[in-house]
Amino acid sequence: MRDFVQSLKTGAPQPYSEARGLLDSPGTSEGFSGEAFVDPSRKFATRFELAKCIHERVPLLRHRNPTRDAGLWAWLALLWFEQLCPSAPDGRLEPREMQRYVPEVDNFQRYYRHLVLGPFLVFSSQGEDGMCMLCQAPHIHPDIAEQLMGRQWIIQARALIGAATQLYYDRSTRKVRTGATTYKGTSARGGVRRMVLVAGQFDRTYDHFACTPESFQQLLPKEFDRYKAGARSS
Amino acid sequence: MIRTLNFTDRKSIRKEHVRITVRPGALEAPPTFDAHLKLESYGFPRDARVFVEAYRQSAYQRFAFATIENLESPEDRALTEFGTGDGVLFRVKVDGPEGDPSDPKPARLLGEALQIRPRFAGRRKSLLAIEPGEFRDQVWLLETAENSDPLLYVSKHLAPNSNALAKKPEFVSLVLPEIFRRVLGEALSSGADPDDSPDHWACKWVRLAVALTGNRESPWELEEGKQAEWIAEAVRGFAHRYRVAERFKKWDSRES
Repeated sequence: MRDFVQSLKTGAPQPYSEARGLLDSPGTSEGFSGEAFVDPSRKFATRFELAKCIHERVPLLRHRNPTRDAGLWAWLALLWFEQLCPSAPDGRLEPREMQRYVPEVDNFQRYYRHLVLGPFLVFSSQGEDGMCMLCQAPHIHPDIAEQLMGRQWIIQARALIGAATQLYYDRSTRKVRTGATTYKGTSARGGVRRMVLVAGQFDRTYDHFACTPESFQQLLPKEFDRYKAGARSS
Repeated sequence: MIRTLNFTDRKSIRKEHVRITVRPGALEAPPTFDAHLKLESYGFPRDARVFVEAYRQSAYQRFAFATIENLESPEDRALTEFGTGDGVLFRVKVDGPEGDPSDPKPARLLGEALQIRPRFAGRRKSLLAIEPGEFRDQVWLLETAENSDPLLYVSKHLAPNSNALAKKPEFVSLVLPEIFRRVLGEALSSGADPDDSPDHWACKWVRLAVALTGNRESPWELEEGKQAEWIAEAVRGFAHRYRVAERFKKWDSRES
């Protein structure tokens, strides 16, 4: 898998049709005690759809520790590689960093960047409350996910993730609100980066794991009013 | 200069006051855990609520251990979110007493212990576990208790790699024999019964001492003075086995 992704970055890319052989070759893939059917031709409009599909099937594999099994996620990424890899106008596949396709499950700073495992983890732990990180196309690792999942204590706190979706996900457009991930200038005020910082300050005083998205929102200062108003109206 | 100001009165619970043991589940069952918390010395309000949280990456579970006054493990301590216990860390939180339900503010945090690494029951392990300690005023601290294995804490501020320190010739030659002596002393006064509870930590340490000296005489029934002699002989056996004098000479000649 690594060789295939690497080859796409060189002048002599290995054809995807050839790399797909890894999926059922006994030398590179092995079975589980349980069985689940996945449709290789299925197209996913969003990370949410992808995560939901996997979430329904993973328990059928009867795997005790699926999120720690790098091979499982690399296999799934290869299965739907054409959807997960951006392509140039001429159709050439242009992969991004290796961890998006082959997960680094033991690296707490990178594991969530995998394009199948990342959405799966958000969906399994947050469900629709994690929609602000799941509404994007499957080949995208969104900045909002980087900001929220990059801090373990935030991704574990359901109230904070719920609040982030209430504030930054627009249910009418099904997209993240404009400006939510801006990182500089006045338009960054009240954005997700500020939310992470402010939550870090509150974390010294309050137990976020004992609060609700609404009670967390009430703590937020005035700079978040723009997003709070949006949350109320949608 | 960056200063850390704590206006919240939040207390850091020392890692040596929290002991978590993860036990594998039977067959397909998830692992469970036991928590041993020593929170009496912190002065938390009696009705403050205690929580133990298990976490790994995005997975998270929270368990209510009732209040400071009536610390009680919940019946269900299954780590259902984790598959196996590998890589799971724990936090302990003490929250303020339950307040007015109409107050929307989250619970106030009174104290916490972060990044607690659990022990794993049933795995082969060293007789003396080494854990990083929060203290800065001494290098190491030996903790013994009647019903839990001895634990060597090494200041994480003075020696960030505690396992490496324990293998250094300086430590092996100057410190370990004394630790061995102290643990054996504690073992013989622990009240453990080698016939009834051969897996008790005290019995394991005494068996190690017997193996080192070859002295088959049972130390359990000896008088106090004789026990001290028995321990001294065991420490000599330890020093001989681990070439303490040789290691000392080697690093001492390097230093001078």
